[in-house]
Amino acid sequence: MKKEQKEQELEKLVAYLDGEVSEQEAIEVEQSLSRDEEVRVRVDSLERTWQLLDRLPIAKASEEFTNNTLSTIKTIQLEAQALEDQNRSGFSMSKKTQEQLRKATVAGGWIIGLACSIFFGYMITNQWVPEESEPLLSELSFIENLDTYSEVQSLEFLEELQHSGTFNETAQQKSR
Amino acid sequence: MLRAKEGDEGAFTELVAAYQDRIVGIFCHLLRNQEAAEDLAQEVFLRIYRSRAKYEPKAKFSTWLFRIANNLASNLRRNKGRRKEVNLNPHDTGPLGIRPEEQLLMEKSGLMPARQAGLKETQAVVRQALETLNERQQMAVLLHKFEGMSYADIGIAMKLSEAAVKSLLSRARENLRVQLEKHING
Repeated sequence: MKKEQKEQELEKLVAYLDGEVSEQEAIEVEQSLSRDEEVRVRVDSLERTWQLLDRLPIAKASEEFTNNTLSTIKTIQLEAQALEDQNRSGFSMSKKTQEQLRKATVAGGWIIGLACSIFFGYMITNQWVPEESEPLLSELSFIENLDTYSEVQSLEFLEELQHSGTFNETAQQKSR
Repeated sequence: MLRAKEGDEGAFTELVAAYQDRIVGIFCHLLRNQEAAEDLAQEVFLRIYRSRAKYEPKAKFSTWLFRIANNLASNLRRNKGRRKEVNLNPHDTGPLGIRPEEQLLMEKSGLMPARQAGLKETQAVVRQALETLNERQQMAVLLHKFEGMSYADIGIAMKLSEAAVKSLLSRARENLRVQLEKHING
């Protein structure tokens, strides 16, 4: 008999002993048992081997096992709870920091707003209040010719000169 | 388990009480050390407790329990293999040796010293035979012999097909037969 065949035969016999065969397989094994002494001996020794395992002492958990296990679970639970609380407090700290950050941002906003107000206020005020040099600049041509105007003495004299055509003659001479 | 899943602490206590001996028993056979077996059994219950919310009653609770036990035992063996620190002493006072309460029980039951010696000898021989099996064979044998689990349930617990369990158990049983041949007729 080939090795593979032998293994299959063994599997079938063991499964039969374990009640793990189909009805058809059970019939086949029983027929084999009824006609083959060698199979009967083999099955018998397999069964008796299995029964020997009953001699092994059955271990039980110690009396403290339940309490120890439940205490360990309780400890783990408490540790997990503590960790959760710690995380929560860490979260509130970060919330606190966020709150502080928010306040700082608001304060910063106010400071910037105030600075802008001051700047624009200054600019606007500066536009409204005239500078001292401004009249001097606007009257610059008059100031530059002040000596000439002083020699003229009066406006009526200038008008008489214009009517007499003196300015036109002078202008024609200059253009030549 | 469903009650424990709903947060009933009392139900979980009942579960521990109901299954502790079975789990410790299996681990004692595998590790041959009561203390190590209890530590590992405790880890099984811790894992169950941690994953109780995810529990779905698809298979028998005991199958799920032994699946976790099998995983832990495999991990332990792997780790010990890596560290090469297998300090398991088969001669430790433990489940496969005679524990004091068992000694007392035998004395009370009136067993004669010669019979006690005979029993001890048989236990030692059977223990040695069991130790010749590989880890998966041992686990399959223990689940089938001491837990009465079907091939299908062993398959679920050990992540194997039913055919693989059938093959594993037949080889294990044949190995044991060869090892114990001299003693089965005694």
